[in-house]
Order: sequence, then structure tokens, then C-alpha cells
Amino acid sequence: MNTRRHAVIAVVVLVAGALGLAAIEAVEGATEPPRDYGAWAPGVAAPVSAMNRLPATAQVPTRLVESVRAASQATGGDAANATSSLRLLRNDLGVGRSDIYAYSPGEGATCMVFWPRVALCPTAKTSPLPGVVATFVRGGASYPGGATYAGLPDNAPPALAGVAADNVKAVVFRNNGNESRLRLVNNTFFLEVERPAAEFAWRMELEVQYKDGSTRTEVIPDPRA
Amino acid sequence: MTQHMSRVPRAGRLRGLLVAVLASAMFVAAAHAGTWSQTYVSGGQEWGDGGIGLSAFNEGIGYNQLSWSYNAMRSTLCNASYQCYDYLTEWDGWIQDYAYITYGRAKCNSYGSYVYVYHCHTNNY
Repeated sequence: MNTRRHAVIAVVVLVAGALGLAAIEAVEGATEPPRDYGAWAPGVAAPVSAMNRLPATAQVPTRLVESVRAASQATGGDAANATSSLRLLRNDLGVGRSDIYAYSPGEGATCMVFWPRVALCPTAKTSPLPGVVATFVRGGASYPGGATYAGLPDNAPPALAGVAADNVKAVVFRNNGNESRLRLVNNTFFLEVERPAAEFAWRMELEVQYKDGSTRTEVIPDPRA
Repeated sequence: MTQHMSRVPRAGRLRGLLVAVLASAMFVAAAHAGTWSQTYVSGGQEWGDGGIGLSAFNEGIGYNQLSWSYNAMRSTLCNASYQCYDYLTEWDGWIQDYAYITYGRAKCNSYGSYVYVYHCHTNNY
């Protein structure tokens, strides 16, 4: 009788434990970062042909490789895929002599590194600019570099950089009313922008024109406010 | 006697092992002296427009990683007087900002409504 009671208790405890573990995993799973990339991502929404056309990148700063590995793991991608797909799309850009790298951690999605300022991966559910990852980033004084990589010169101005999929026809940037039509080179665009004096407003817009005739615009908020 | 003789080498080996473990621990501690990281927002939270996360203060902050879905997040680093670099505003869902500050704190900030923030993480790499 005792043995039977003990067996029943043991089974109840085991079942309760299993249910508890399942509940914990469900809660943890609900708070984990997304395990996939947005359907709007360049490489998913449309191909990024430069990624297939350009050769693998031979010499890459150590810090950048670490960043690519960390990014792919953090976003649910594969570190080996990410590093083997790494391509230098454009280099030595502007006063900051910045580089634009791209890689695919999984599902064909294209992540971008605007070295040595910022790395982006398209994990959001939606985007105002499908097929494009883009950044408008501050100037050189904020990016002195570190022990393992060279930073930017202090006088490097803020800059716009991005990767656009093959379905993008043109990219237009408006800075306080001044319009610049940006060159698309190896699926990238880039522009250095002077930071206005504090007493002046700073209104920026990035417009993307698609080959299907549609147009989408992203308003870039004043970085100083 | 035999017992005594066998105990001495064992004690010696244990002492040697202890010294090796302590030396390794000191080496690892020295190698990592000064390294610091902090996940200052975690667990998945829905923020309205203007939600703010701030890390603790530390020296040599050189990295701010943000992960979210829907709308935009902003990244910056601020000094002890809460003077901050210009914001980096992104819609992509995941960023690493390599800005550097000799002493200060990292900040993440939601831009737009219903921003679901997975984490904000910084270190002094």
C-alpha cells in the first residue's frame, strides 16, 4: 500500500515538475528576441545581387568579425553562414573613410555593418522602407575606436549609409530642403552631411523609389533632440 | 609509517593543485580586470513613445546593443552630467552602436508607440 502511494506521489511530482518546466520555457520563449528576420529585409523581399557578385572579404578587422558572429547568434542566425557570406560592398567612404559590409546570417536576410560606427540586422516585423537597411549616424568624435580597431577622425561628419535590394530604383535624401539623389553602388548608398548649428532645425527625409513605381519615405528625427 | 609516507605526497599534490587553481584564478581575474557589461533592459517590454532605459555608469563604454520589434529605437551614450551624443534612430530591429565614451552610461529610447523592447545591453569592450 505504502509502495503504491509512494509511486503515485512520485508520478504526481514528476508531472507537476514537467508542467512547471514547460511553463517556464513558454514564458522565457515569449520574451526572447525574434528568431527570424523581417519579410521586408533586403535579401528576403528582393535579392541583393552584389552579395553574389563580389568576392569574399579577405582582411576584416577582428572586432568586426566578432560583431558579425555576435549579431548572427543574437538574431537567431548562423555564425558560420554570417562570416562566410561577409562582403565588403564599399570602402574608404568620405572624410570618415568608412566601409559598408554586408552579410547574411540566415533566411537570405542581409545585415549591414557601417564600419566603424554601427551594425544593423533587419529583425523588426515591419519597416517604413522595405528592402532597405539604412542608418543616419553621428560624426567622428563619438567613434574614436579601440585597442583592436581604428576609429574615425574627429572631423568626420555625420553620415547616411544603407544597403538596398535589387528592387530599389533610386534613393533620395532631403536635408533641410536640400535634395540629393544618391548613387547606388553595389547595392549601397552613402552621403556625408554637415551637422547644422544648434540654433537651426534639422529636418531629414529618406525617400526610396522602387522599380514597381511605388515610393516610400522615412522621416529621420533630429538626432540632437 | 606507510600511512604517514603516503599522506605527505597526497598533501603535497593537493597543495600544488590549490596553488595552480589560485594562480589560474588570479590570471583570469587579471585578464578580465576592468571588463564590464550590463543588460539594462531585458525580458521583453512594450514601451510607448519616449520610453527610456539607462545603464549604470562605467568607464570606457564602447558598445550599445538594442533589440526590438515594431517602430524605432534610439541609441546614445551620456556623460555624468547627462550630456549625450546625438541619437542614432533605427527601424531595423537590431543594432550595435560602436560609439565610445570615457566615462558615462548607455541609453536606449523608444521612438513611436507600441515598441516591443527585447533588450538594451552595453559593455566597455
